[in-house]
Amino acid sequence: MIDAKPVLQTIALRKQYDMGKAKVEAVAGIDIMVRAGEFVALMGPSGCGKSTLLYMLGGMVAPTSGEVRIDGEDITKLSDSERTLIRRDKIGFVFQRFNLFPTLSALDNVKLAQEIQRWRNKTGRGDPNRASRLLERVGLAAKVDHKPYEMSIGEQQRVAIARALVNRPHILLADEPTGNLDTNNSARVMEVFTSLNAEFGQTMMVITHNPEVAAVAHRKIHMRDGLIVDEADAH
Amino acid sequence: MPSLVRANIFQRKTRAGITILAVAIEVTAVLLIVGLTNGTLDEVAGRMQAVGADIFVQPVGSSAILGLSSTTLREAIVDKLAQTEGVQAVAPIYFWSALVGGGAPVNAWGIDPRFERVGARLTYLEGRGLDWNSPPEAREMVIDRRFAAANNFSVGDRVAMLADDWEVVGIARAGIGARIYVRLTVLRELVGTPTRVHLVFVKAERLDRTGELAARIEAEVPGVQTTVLEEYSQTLGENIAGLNAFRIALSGIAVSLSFLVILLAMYTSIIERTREIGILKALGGSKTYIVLTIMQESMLLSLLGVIGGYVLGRLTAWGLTTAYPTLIITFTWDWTIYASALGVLGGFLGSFYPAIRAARQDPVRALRDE
Ligand SMILES: Nc1ncnc2c1ncn2[C@@H]1O[C@H](COP(=O)(O)OP(=O)(O)O)[C@@H](O)[C@H]1O
Ligand SMILES: [Mg+2]
Repeated sequence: MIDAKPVLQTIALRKQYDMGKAKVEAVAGIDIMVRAGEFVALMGPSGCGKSTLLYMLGGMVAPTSGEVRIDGEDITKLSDSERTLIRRDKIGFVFQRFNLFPTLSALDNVKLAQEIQRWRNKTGRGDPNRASRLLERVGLAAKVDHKPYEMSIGEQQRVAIARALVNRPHILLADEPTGNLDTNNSARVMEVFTSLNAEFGQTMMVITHNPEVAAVAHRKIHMRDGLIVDEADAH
Repeated sequence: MPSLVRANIFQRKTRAGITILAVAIEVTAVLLIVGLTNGTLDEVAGRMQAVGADIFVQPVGSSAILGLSSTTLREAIVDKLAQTEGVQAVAPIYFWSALVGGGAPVNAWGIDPRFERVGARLTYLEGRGLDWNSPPEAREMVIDRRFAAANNFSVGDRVAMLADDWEVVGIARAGIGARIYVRLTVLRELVGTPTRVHLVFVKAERLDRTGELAARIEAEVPGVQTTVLEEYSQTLGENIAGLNAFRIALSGIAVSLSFLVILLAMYTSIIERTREIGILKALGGSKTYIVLTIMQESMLLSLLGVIGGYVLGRLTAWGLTTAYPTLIITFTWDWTIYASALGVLGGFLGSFYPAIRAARQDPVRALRDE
């Protein structure tokens, strides 16, 4: 693991939110490095800046200062559309609220990500069967035509994971993916995560409050008040 | 088409339906406004041309829209015209704007036997033509089929005009000159101007020389102006002050309404879908992708509206002309294309701002759970 190349890296990363007179220091200077194939759990109390850090890693929030390097490239120096392309080709997102399109079936939700990937993209990787294969892989073969409201919360989250993975991103960022799930469903979702990580070697950063989820990660990063307070290897 | 566009439209059937309807009404309105004005113009011009003469002569300064001016010509001018070189025949006309049957005023023409000599061929569907040898106190009237149908008149009925009772002696095929014909001498006596005429039709000896003849008449006969009938439709359109302004203003109002409806529909739809747009961004959808996805939705809606508007316009025109047989509505391709383009333009402009706003919106704010 030590020899694998760095995939996610931040250098003196800060994010300050301007709330009129008050300034919120959501991320107050963070240096982390996550290597290829690592599965990191990001933990800490609510409001300590975990989501902000994750969204900065995904290029969705602009830092106040510092660097975010994806595969060694500082994405804070890129244009907005270049960052969009990196998100499209390299990163899969999973959110706490499942964020599926309510009007689309499970299969179409996954295919939409492919459609975006292929759009005006000569090197698009649209594999027509990949969407249904992934849904099968997460145990939803029988539900491909179901709309989100016809599925349980745990099933919806697995659709979201399939969608995040359909374009073969090598980075997976998840913001409390099991936050709304019961123990049973959490376990299933985490089983999907760990087996995918073992199988495809994706680099993963997962925000969680759940110690059982954190237990399966390679490494835990604890945050408090916008700073890292403690890093611990699970091994 | 992306599955999302289709799904959004089907998901919000009422909103989609109302948007389509707004565009359809806009297209219908433009088509009908133009169709009605064009139809009326063409019909008026067509009736004049159907008389069969080549030129008509009016007092100088008269409007091309017949019956608008009350100036008249002396009977002597008619004889002078008949003697002008190149003139084969002349037919004087006296106008009366008749209020018959309680409807809008209808053109009545006083004619004499010379009317047929300039080429006019009235065809009688029922009854007969005016009897030129009837006594001066006879009150005979020929009406056209449309006017008869609109008022339920048939041969033998008595019609009140100029405080007199007139007998319908014949019903002529519609489309030539006026809707009502009476004898020139009788009409002029009743109005009290027995030696005046409003207009004189002229038949040229040589068809290829009508322009030349018109110019000669204006040079040789004082106080008259001429109109070559071949060019009448055009002259008429140009002479109706504000016609185009009127059409443009009404089209503009129609387009603004459909624009606003689309703007509102797309705007509310964007606000409702804030989170979905955030996901699109998280999935790597570019600004252009988001703008185009939203615009595609509205373009599709306005396209459906345009098709609906075309059908609705045709149906309305059919309904109107069935209910009011004297109405003429002419659809032309150029205005159909123009109305359709306006419909699509409304959809484009109406969704442009919401789409740009959606693309600019902060994805994270939309995705936050708090
Ligand atoms: N868009 C924003 N504007 C202002 N303040 C924000 C915004 N996003 C987050 N914050 C603030 O930043 C801090 C960190 O938030 P967040 O990253 O969501 O924490 P966590 O995910 O650990 O709960 C909080 O105090 C939160 O209120
Ligand atoms: Mg959070």
